[in-house]
Amino acid sequence: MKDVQQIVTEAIEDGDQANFPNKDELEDFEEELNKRRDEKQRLRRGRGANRKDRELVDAVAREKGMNKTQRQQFGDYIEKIKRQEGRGGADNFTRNELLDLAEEFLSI
Amino acid sequence: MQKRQVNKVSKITITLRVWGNLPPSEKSNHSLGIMPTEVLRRGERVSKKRVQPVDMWRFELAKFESDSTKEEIDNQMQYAVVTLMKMASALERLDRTNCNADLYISTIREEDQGGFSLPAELVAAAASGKLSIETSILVMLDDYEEPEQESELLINTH
Repeated sequence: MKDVQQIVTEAIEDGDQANFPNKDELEDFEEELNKRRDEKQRLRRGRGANRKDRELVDAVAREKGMNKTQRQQFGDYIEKIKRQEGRGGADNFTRNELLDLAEEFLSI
Repeated sequence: MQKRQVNKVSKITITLRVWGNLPPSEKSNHSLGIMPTEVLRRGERVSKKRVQPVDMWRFELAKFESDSTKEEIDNQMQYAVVTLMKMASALERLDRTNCNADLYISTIREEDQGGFSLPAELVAAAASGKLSIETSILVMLDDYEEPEQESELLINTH
């Protein structure tokens, strides 16, 4: 799959609007980007990882409109699900998984 | 009982987990000699979107907070040690080709520094049951900024 930068560069060089990324290509690219971001996040370990994960949890909580109390309970919920799913201590949730968990938590 | 003066609270939960491909719950309960806190079966729908990925048998051994007294913490640790020692031979006999067993320590911390200690007896009890130790740490500092409400945004934009 071509990445968006490559597609746009080719379109500009050709001066051809037909080569400009269409909706499907942009969606494919976004999906690929999310996959790579998740994979990068899974591979991230060591110093600073926990701080970034906390920022991620907070970012997801904010994105889903949680207040302070809900965000605190969301933290408990994340730990509960991690424990239930047989995950290891360092087997953290990705951003997409956290977004799903946030929706699930708010629907309870 | 005197409570220690701690501004921020951190929570610790210690759980015995046996998970993977497990026999029926009744058989697990019988072989482990204890009723679990929770059992989940692989394929079970646990929420609208999620399906349980593995069989999970878990027993909560201890749960306390950083403002618990030393006596409270010691009592819980003692209970965890005694329980694990009683279960050690059953845990050791588990078929590890089909399942995993661990001592899962989950902590949610509201402090930017700190830690916890495990008594030697607990580590020894975990080792006698051939349990690995997994630690999950989630830091939730009190610096969260709530998102602006829609009504506030409308006010700000007019």
